[in-house]
Amino acid sequence: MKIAVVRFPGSNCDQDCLRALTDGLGVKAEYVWHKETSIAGFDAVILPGGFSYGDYLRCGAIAGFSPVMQSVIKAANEGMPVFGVCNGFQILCEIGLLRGALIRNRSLLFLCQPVYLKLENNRTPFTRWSEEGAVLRMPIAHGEGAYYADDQTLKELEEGGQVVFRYVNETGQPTPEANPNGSRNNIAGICNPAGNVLGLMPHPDRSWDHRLGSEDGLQLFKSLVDTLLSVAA
Amino acid sequence: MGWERLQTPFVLVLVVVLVLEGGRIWTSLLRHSAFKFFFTQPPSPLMLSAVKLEVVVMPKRNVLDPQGVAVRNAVRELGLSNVSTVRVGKIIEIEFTGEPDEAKLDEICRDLLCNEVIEDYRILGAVLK
Repeated sequence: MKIAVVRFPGSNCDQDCLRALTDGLGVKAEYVWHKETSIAGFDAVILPGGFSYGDYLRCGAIAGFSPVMQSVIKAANEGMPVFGVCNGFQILCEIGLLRGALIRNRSLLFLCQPVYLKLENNRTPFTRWSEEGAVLRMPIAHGEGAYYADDQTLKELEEGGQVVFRYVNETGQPTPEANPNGSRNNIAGICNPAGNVLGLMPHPDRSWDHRLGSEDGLQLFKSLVDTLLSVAA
Repeated sequence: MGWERLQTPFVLVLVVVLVLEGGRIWTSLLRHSAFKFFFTQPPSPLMLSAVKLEVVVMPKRNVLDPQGVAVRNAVRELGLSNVSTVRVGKIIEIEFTGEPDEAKLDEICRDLLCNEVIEDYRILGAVLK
């Protein structure tokens, strides 16, 4: 089993993602440069956080046209698990693997702080390891993290169980105060209808070890690895 | 007979128009590619047909534009108290060295330059350089 961590010019959480997998879980993970045209030999893809292409035009807009992304889109449509964290989430929305878009934080502030998240769907390859309703603590670090979708799309996402993570307070309530950036319905992470593509603004890659302040993020990587192992078995 | 009576006022009007609008008229004449031939080095065929298009991208009306709100508040602070809305978008200038393929540009607007989930765009007409 081998997991790809795609590197774009401007990615800066690529090491965090790789080490969550290699050091945190002892599994094999490798960087894939954005100019590669194939992801053959990999079982899952992680699009890390950062500022791909300097966030020029719109966050994630230009990365979507990288050579490697064509194979990622194809693999995702064939069912391969693809996980976009932060800028990776923005890229997944830009290329249309996930619906909606991420716009500037309501406060205009770049937010770098811990948040609480409620897991609302544990049927994805990334969340099987956790209990539905679990409250996880992870940091956010973004300037454009407000999730936006029109009313109809929002309704379809909610009804289809595609809202995977929501910003909540410590006791698990999705209050307006617990919403750090103005995301609609407090949405922090969504998946595609099949569940194999997940986008999440907060950083599990910065919360996989107690030395980082939280190890709740490790659950997501663990779930992914478990899923891949069970498929292989 | 009629012409002689009209001649003086006509010349007067012409002089006034030339004085007031002369700069603009000459500039636009000089800008016209047909006249470039007389005033510049013989231009290459590519230069003659250089065209600049502008793509204007704006946040959709129903999408929160915190940047616009911040600018609006600053504009009000500076004394324009009756400003109700400011929205901040962007203009992308695109220069062509020949005839622009506007259909293709429109496609690229939808694929790359504009995210139609949150933005609208329009392509502003061809401008001769």
